[in-house]
This record gives sequence, structure tokens and C-alpha cells, in this order.
Amino acid sequence: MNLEELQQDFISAIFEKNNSTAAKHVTGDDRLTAEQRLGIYRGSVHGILTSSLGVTFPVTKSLVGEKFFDHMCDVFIDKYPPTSPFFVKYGGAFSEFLEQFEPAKSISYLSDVAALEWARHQVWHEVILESVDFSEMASLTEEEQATVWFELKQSLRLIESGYRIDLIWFAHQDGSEIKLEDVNIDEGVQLLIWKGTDGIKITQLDTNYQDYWDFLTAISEKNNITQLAGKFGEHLPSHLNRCIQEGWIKSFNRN
Amino acid sequence: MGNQNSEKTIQTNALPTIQGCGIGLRLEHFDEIKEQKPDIPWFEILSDNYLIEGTSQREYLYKFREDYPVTFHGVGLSIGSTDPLNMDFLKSLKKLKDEVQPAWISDHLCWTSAHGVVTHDLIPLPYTKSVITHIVDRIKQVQDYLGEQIVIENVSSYLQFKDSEMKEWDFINEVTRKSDCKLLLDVNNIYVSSQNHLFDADEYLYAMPQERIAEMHLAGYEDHGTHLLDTHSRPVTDPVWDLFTKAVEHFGDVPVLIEWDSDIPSLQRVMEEANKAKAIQQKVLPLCA
Amino acid sequence: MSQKNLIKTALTSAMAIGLVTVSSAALAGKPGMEKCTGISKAGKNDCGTSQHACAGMAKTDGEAEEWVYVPEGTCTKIVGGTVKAKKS
Repeated sequence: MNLEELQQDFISAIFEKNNSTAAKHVTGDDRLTAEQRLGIYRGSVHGILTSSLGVTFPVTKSLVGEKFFDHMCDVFIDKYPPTSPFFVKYGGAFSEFLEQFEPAKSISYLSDVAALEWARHQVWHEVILESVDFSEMASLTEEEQATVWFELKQSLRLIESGYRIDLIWFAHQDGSEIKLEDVNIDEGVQLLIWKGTDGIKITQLDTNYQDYWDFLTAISEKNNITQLAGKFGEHLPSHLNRCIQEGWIKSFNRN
Repeated sequence: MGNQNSEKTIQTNALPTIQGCGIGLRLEHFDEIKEQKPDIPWFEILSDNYLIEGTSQREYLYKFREDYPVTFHGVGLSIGSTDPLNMDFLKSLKKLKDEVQPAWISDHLCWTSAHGVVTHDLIPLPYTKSVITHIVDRIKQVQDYLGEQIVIENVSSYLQFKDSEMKEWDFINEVTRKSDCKLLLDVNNIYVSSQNHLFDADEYLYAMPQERIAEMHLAGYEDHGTHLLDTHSRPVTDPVWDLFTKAVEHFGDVPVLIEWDSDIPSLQRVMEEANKAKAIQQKVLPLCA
Repeated sequence: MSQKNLIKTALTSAMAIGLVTVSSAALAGKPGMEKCTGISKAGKNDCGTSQHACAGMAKTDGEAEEWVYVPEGTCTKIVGGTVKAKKS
């Protein structure tokens, strides 16, 4: 017996419907055939992972209904089996998968909603970093100051969609005043998902924080302060100030 | 710049003493436990859920640890896999152990991942001499790395491999003896497997190495007609209570823990199961208060 | 304002903020887990981060080969929401 081979066959039996190869290793009896016994494991693994995806993507699940979601997960799980023992890392490919998933194509915004939920999930599990004292920038020389660049908080995600995925998400929360029936989904949004001191926030940048999308994107691309000044001109001081105040920028660096 | 995580240390003295009937800590009960501090001797935490440093969840565990002793119970070790041990995982586990100081660390006598794919489920092994050699070597590696004996649990199974050369209980004895690890005796798992594979649960139970048993587990299963499924979603059943009574008679005063992972009821309801286990211990072991 | 002055103004303003307290301490000070305390007033999701367990689950393969399933969740409430073509 070769354990490596047995495990390879077993893995195939769990993530593919065909388990005839693995069945050769397994004893069957009059209650359950070898294939059925393997099927219990396939079912259990799919059950565990579907349940996990349902917790990570509750709005996506609500949108399509439990039955559809379950079957959608079956296809996803076979196509993208987990590769990390860290459970929280599972589901990163779900949004991308949904975009290509033919039976869900009629729900054009589904993949973006899943992306929003994944962002919230990631932000929730992101490491909380200690803060930095920005007054320390005073010790930099003028030349050093001119090339200062900033880092966004790790637990921060920028998401853009052609649909009001934020409203769709809010409408699914308990006690929400937003009714799904009233949502005009057909408008684009630019969202910032981040962890504030009082929970995870979804902030719509295009209405409340005009051109902050571009500003945050530029920072995430490591533009230094001189480059930022070139792009944002007189808005630079207020933008930078506000981003630091909100806790979106976690540190400064110099080359 | 200036954003390093500070080292965490828990204000506790020696390793906690674990005794009596504990319950598995679940998210659903966090706030209630925090507020009411119920009289529960210890909690078992699913260590895989706290491995990432700096998360709010981890912060919460530090605080929780100030109130209760804990043991670690994990799924991700995949001790029976033919893949190399996942050192990232082990490193995280060791860091968590150093910070939280559990009385012990347990995982399962099975495999959960292979060929780079992780099932997050407990898959049984063929019971052969070569598999014993493989597993013993890996348990030793883990024990060396963590600097302590680990505790290995017998799993429920729904199939048997044609290549098996021995009984599951002989396999467990050999593995624990040769690797010098401890045993987490899951009484429910013995019962579930005995029904699924039609063997005598008593024979299995009485064959267990008494001196190695660190802890016992109790949980509820689902009856699917053709087989029992170890779902941890129900109360402990009568035949499992009977088997547990025999275990207490035979092995004496061993810490016991209630697991409830799916369709999780109120904390009160889980505590009722723990109290039931406690009542059996008190009845069988009159000197044990 | 010259670019040099602009940068100076921006940095001076940032320096004045000094220490930004988005630290673990701020979150750890909350009772329990923020996700479970309803602070972000969400439903189940806020308490539910997918949790490991060492238990099995029952799930059977559906007859999903031909994909006869139709989404029948809350998407049906979204006006015109299920018939739109994917935006590029």
C-alpha cells in the first residue's frame, strides 16, 4: 500500500464526482458500497466548506437562495479546493468564479456583491497594527520630506462597481431602513471598506469624499508627496489630513 | 515605522490544572461567558480559529484566558498526511501556545490535507505498520518543535481501508506508545465507528492505554440510517452515556469535555450536558467531588 | 502656492495630528468581540466568521448536472435586477 497514492485518490474522490479509483482502497458492505462510503466524505467536506462560504458570503447567499447557493458552492469547491489550513483564507476566488458562472449570469451584480463581502471578511481578519506618530516627520530633512510616501492601513479595501452593491448589502442587514425593492442598483459606486474603532465600515467615496478614490489609489501605488502634490494640487493638505484623521493612512516612509 | 506588534504575555502562573467537565468555547457564547463568568472549570478552544496574530479574535482570547484555563484542540495539523508538515501552521500554533499557555495541545489521529489540498475534515488512515512508522515520526517532529507532548484524538470514521492490517485500537496503542504522546479519548467517536463498522465498542474502550489518556470528549451525532455521522450537532445519546460510564469506571477521574459545533444551543444547554457528565463522574467516583 | 509650499503645508498639517490611535488597544478595549456585540448593527454575519470545527456535516450531491436551478432568493425583489446584462 502506498499512502501517498491513497491520499491522492481520496482527494480526487472528494473534489470530483467520480470516485471509482479511490473506491478500490475501500471496503464496502451490504449497507453501503465503497463508493457510497466515500460519498459521505465528499458530502461532509462539501458541507463544511459550503457552510463556511455561507457565513462569509451571507448576502450573496440570500440573493440566490439557499438551494441555488448550495449547488453553486458544490461547483466552486470542486473547481477551487482549499489550499491553506487557515480556514479564513477560503473563498478569495468566489467572486471571480461567480463572474464566469453561467447559471448566475442573469444576476449581473452578484460577483461584485461577493467581492464586497470578501473585502469585509478580509478586513475583519486583518492584523491590527500599532499606530505611528506623524509628528516624527519633523525630524526629516527637507529633501527627505519631498520624497515621503505613505502606507494605507492593511485592513482597508477599495472596491468599485457598476452597481449599488453597498445598498444591496445594507438592505440585507437586520433592521435596515433600505428596502431592496427601492434600490436603484444601476449606478456605479466607489467604496472603501475599512475597520474603524467601532466596527467594519463601508464608506461611499464618490459622494462623501470626492476624488478620495484617486487619492487613496495613488497612495496605494506608493506615490510620494511630490507626486501627490502634482496630481492633487491645492487639495493635497486637506486630503492628506483627512485620510490620517480617519485612520486610513497608517504610516509614513522615506526612500 | 513604529508599528510592530508588542509581545503579548498572559498574566498567569504555572500551566493551568485541568479537571472536571469543561465545554468547547464557541463564538456564539463569547459575550455571555464574558459577562456572566459561569462556573465552568475550563474551556477548550479550537486553536485553528486563533492562529492569526493581531486580530480582534486573538485579542479576545487573551482576555478570555485571564478568566479561564484553556486547552487547545486543532484540526489543521494533518499528522497523517504524506505532505511535509506545514511549518507556517506549526509556527503560528507555537506562538499561540506561548502566548495563551494552554494546559495541552490536541489534534486528531487522521489526515486533513494531502497534495497541497486541504479538506478541513478528518479523514481516517489505513491501520498498517508502515503508516504507524510514518505517523510516529511526524508526532515526534511536532513534539520536538512544540517542546511538549501532544494529545492525539481517535476520530469517527465512515469507511475502512482494505489495506488495514490491524484493529483501530491496536493502531492507537502503537502510535501513542511509540511516539510517547497522550491520548484524547473521544467516547462518542468510538461509538459512532463501532456502529459504522460493526465492532464491539467495549472491546475498543477497554483496549485504550489508561496511562496516556489526558482527556475525554463527548458529543452528539446524527443517525442517517445507513451510518452515524459525527456532527456535534445534538445532545449526547444514551448509548454514548453508557459507554462514558464504563470509561469513567475503567479509567477513573479524567477531564471530560462537551463539544457542540453545529445547531449550537444556548450556553445553558451545553452546560447541562457537562453537568450530566459530572453527575456520572460523581456517581462512579464517589470520592471525587 | 508653490509645490514646495504645498508639500510643506500638507506635512505640517499631518504632523500636527501626531499620534494616530488606530491601534489594537482601541479595539481591545471594547467588551467582547465587536462582531458579536452588534456594534456594526449587522445580522448574523457580524457574529459569524467561519469557524473550524472537528465535526462532519451531511450534504448530498444534487442533481445539478444540467443546472436546472434558478436563483430564487432576495434577488427577485430587485427591480429589473435579474435581467440585466453584465456591465463591462
